[in-house]
Order: sequence, then C-alpha cells, then structure tokens
Amino acid sequence: MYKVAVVGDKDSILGFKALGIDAFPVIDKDEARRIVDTIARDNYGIIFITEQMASLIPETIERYNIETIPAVILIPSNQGTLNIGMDRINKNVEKAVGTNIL
Amino acid sequence: MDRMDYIQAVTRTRVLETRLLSRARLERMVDAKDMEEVFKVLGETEYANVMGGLTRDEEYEKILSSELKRVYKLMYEIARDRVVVDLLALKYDYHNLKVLIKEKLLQRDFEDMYISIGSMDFSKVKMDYLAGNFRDMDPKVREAIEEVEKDLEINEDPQRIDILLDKYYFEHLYKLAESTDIPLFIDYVKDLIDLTNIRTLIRVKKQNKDIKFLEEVVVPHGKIGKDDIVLALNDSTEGIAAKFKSFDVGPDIRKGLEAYQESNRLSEFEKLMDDYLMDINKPSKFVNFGPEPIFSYVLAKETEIKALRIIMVSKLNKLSPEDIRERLRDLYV
Repeated sequence: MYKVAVVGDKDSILGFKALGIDAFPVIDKDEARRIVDTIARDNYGIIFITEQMASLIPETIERYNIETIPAVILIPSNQGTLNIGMDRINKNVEKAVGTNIL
Repeated sequence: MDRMDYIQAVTRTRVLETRLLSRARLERMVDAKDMEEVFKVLGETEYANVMGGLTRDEEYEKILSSELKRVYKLMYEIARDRVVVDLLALKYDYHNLKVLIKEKLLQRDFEDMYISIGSMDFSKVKMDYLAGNFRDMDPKVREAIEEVEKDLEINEDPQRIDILLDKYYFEHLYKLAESTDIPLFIDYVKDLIDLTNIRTLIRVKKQNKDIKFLEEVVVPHGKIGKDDIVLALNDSTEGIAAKFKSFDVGPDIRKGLEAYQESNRLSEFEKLMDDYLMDINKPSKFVNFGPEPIFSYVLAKETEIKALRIIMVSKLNKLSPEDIRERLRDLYV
C-alpha cells in the first residue's frame, strides 16, 4: 500500500503525525529537494508539501506534475496561504473540464 | 537530611541565581524583530557558553537542551543528596521508559527521542531491560515495567503504556518527596498532582469518556482526594471551581477554568499551573540552610528554558509580541 508524507517546516507539519502521516521537517530548499526526491522513490503515493517550501523548489514540483505517482499536493503552512495550491487545483480543473467550475 | 550540610551548596546556588535571566532581558527578546536579535541578547548571558557551533536558527533546541543538561550535571555535583535533584529529573526517566518500551514493542529505533537527563543511569536500564535482566533495577522501575508488560499482553492498548507509567511516575515521585521530609518538596508534589488531576478531569470531560476511564487516569496522593475528583466528572466547570476552592490550588483552578470556558483551551490553565508551582518555590530565596534553594534553582532554570523555547518558536513562526507575552511564564527572580 502507498504511504502518505508531508514536507515543510517543523511547526507546520508535526501535527500530521497524529494522523499516521509521515512528517519530514525541512529547513531550506536543498533539504526539501533532497527529501522530496528520496521519498518519491520510496513508495509514497501522496506527498503534501507546504506552499512556502514548494515556492522555493518549483522545478522539483514541476517534475512530479507529469508523473501519476506520487501526487504532490500543496497545502498552506501556519503562516497562511500563498494561493499557489488553490491556483494549481483551479488549473487542473480547467484542464479536466474545460472551464473553471470552482 | 541535615540542613547544615547545605551551607556550601546554598552559597554556590546564590551565585548561580544572579545569572538567571531577568524579566527585562526576556522582554527584550520578546520585542526582538527576528531570531538573530534574540540570539544576540542571549549571547550576553550565561547561555553564551552553549551557543557555539550554531549554524541555523532552527537549531535553537540544541542550545536549550545542552543548557538543561549542563544545569542538571552541575546541580547533581552541588547537592549533597541526589534526591533533591532527582525530584525534578525523574520525569525524564519515565519519559525514557516510555520510549524504551515502545521501541521494543515496535522493533524500531527511537534513539533521538531519549533525553539524556535523569536520576538513573539509563543506558544501563536499557541494556538490562533488553537483556531481560530485571535484578539490578530500581524496584519501583522494575515494578512499573513488569506491570506495563503484563497489561500489554492482556489489553494490547498502547495508550495504557503512558497511563500506567504516568501513574508509576507520580507514585515514585511522591515516595521520593516523602522520604526527604522537607515540606516544600511534599507540597510541590502534592500540588502538582492536584493540578494534573484537575487538568485530566477537564480533558476527560471534553472527550466524553466515562467515569471508569477517569478513575484509571486520576493519580492518588494529592491534597484533593481521588474520589472527589472522580465524582466531579458530571459537575459543571463552575461547580468544579466551587468544589475545590478551599484547597491551596483553588484560586488558580478557578482562574484557569474561567479562561478555559472562554477560549475552550487549556493553555492558560497550564500557564497558571506553572506559575503556581514557581510561586510556592519563591520563599526558597530566603532559605540559607537547607536543600530548598537547590531544588528551586533547577526548577527556575527549567522555567527559564521553557520561556526561551516559547519565545524562539514564536519568533520562528512570526507571532506578535503580545501573543508571546500571553504565553510566557512567571520567572523565579
């Protein structure tokens, strides 16, 4: 079975542990890139990543866009949202349905 | 315990007390604009020794834990009877026991979860436990481990590990305090038990668990009788405050519960709890012959480190100075 991971700054993601999601605290972009690439090959089906972290590593995120597994999903961190996550969902909806129905 | 044995120790502690962070210094850190500024203020204090080799802001935890380790090591040297420091170090032993038992149960390595502070040589306890050699262990620890293992076989409920060990922790702590015959230590432990029980009561109420569960998790030996707390399960929060108002912790319970009703959070209650326990230690400042100042100093350091952690985590997460102040605990000085 696939596992679920969450990547981001420690204070934002630690709570996910209680849900049985594996939390990977990272501090800078090199670490984030390395962690995402490692866990993508390690049977993780969904990787949640905070928008703040994702905005530092756009190429890496882009690379997993064209792969079916893992699904990299952007979530807001405790600092609030940057709206990139929602933008991506809107774009995907547009691609799928042809128009933005959200 | 001979009070005259403590003349030298108290003198040394008095010198250390002057190095505790003042409220004004903490305020400066609260108002700092970022972590760098917090570190700058901290660099002017006795923390400067443990701040070397820090490369990133997020490594603040290293400073705090090495400072705490340093304090425990020093105070064990200063105190004539280990039990004075054991009273505060015991919680780390039981934390480590929880990690140890879960490590064995899950067959996984939680090395980084252990805290290398404690009243006993934990690496020896670990080796003995994994080898099944229970003979050399402290009889209280041995009893706790055996009970937990037996319970795991019957109930197979990992939550019971924590519940049982907490229970044995308070039992052990109470026995330690009792053996010293020092009123402050006994009061401290009894009040700690009362406050913990009331907090448990509120949590159990909130989770809508039954009275049987509450009976399981309430700890004996407080000033408030165990039955009184268990029977308060169906009382309203005002009812609880009124019921316990004549106890030492009564006024703080009332304040804590009022805050809980407003915000539905226990954080204010926990702050009042820490403040109360610090408060009963303040008379130690005027004790010149006896172990109290040693104990109070270690507690003061723990409180100070907790305050620093609150400030640093809040700074990293960009909380406003007002929010930080609201959470900050009272200091010893």
